[in-house]
Amino acid sequence: MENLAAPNRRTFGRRRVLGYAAALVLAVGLLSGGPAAAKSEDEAGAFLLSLTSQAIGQLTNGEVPIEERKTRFRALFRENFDIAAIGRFVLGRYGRGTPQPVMDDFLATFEDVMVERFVPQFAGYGDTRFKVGTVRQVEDKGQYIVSSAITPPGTENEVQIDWRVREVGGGFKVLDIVGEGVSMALTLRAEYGSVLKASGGKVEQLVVLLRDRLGAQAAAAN
Amino acid sequence: MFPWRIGAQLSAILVTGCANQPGDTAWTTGGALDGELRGSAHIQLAQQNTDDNTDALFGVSDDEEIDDNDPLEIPNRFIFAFNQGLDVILLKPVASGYKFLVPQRVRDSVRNVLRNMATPLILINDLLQGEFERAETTVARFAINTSGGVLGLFDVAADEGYVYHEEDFGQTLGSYGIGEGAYLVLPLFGPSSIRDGIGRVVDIFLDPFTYLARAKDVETEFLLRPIVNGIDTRSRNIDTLEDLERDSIDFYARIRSLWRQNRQNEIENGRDVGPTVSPGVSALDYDFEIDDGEPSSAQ
Repeated sequence: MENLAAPNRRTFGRRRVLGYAAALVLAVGLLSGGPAAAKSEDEAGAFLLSLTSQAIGQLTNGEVPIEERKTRFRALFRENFDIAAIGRFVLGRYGRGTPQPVMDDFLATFEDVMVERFVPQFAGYGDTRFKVGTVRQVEDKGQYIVSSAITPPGTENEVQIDWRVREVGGGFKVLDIVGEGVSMALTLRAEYGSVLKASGGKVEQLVVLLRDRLGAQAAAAN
Repeated sequence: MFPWRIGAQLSAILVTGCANQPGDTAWTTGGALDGELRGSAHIQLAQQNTDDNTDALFGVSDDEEIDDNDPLEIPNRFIFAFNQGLDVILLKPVASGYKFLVPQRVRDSVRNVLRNMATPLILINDLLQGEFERAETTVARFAINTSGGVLGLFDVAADEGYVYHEEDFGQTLGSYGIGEGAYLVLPLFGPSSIRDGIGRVVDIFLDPFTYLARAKDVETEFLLRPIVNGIDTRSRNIDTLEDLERDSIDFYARIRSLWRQNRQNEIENGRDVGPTVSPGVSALDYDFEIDDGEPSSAQ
């Protein structure tokens, strides 16, 4: 385990979690409407803690009807993830020059894919341990990489998850989730790229395939 | 026969974890998208985005998806399909039965013994990579688990901070800066590369058990260990792999990408050397399974 103290990293203690969250709420309140201030690593970390605690509070209770959990996830996802940037990134070069209606269609479908992907994963994870580790600023990009570790229920193994977070409009949005060195965005880009290559780069065709798969998943769930 | 460990590790992405203190903190972002970015640096980013160029944001080069480095894609896909078929008719049923019939503690001990037996190979590769601290861990684990862990049945070393890690000659070659050559799907063993395929063969010759088995004329040991290993690993990833495949539209391409990223992370021993690689990660074998929607008792 490397735990090098780089000058631009901050280490979070778990007890400081609520303190940071409270400070952040205050900071956001003060800054809203004003000029965007430079966000610190601490705020990026606090953003992630806030996001995950909301996700845990809203999504892990399997007794809440699945449709309700999907609605909650969608709201959190739209608010906290840079869906437009992620969507464009996963299309890679095939996304360039795509007409706006097709792109909109893809982004809406992509959001549905994410809902189906993630919502079932949360159920039963209420007693997973989660902690934020170090936060690094990515050079000159207004971006941070927030390291976190989760310990799923019933194991003692910590799983390392890094969040690529970007400053947007005075707040933060998640760009990518990297688990044990495996990037969600890169993986989807590779998969979609392969499909797009086979279909002559038609994003419409990718959307059809994604929709078909969603339909099959829904049929299997019933 | 499949990237079992990759499956487990991907689930890390899929599960975004939970905190000790589910707070009620109502925190909202500014809700702005690119158009509302402020500050000169951000305006530049926004302009990039209007050009549909988001690659810089993710720290990757523009041609990342153009080169899959898979010149053998057609035969690879064929072998991949063969492996999947074999999985459906043989490995998965056997692994499911094993998981169902054998208690968790026994299965854990089976894995512990297999890991303990892998010590010489891991140690050799630790040393070949110049990873002396990790070599020390490997030796300490062997000493502790063979004695206090009753011939490796119990992983007591992990409790003392000596956590298991895996090494192989493919990783050693990777650590010397040798590229993968090309992506390669091996029959039975699944995703690999030219480099890692060669590594597998070299590992057979580096492993003292190979010579022990030959000296004692115990060919079964030679075969038994990988078979048990395959069943054990598969049994730990049943839900994870199903989950991985469920929403995939090109499972082959998804696995290829996962394998490649995971392999790179293993070679780097989880160190932060690239833009999308985690800092401070060690390449541990995280075996956990995705909970398929059971309500938590803690709720």
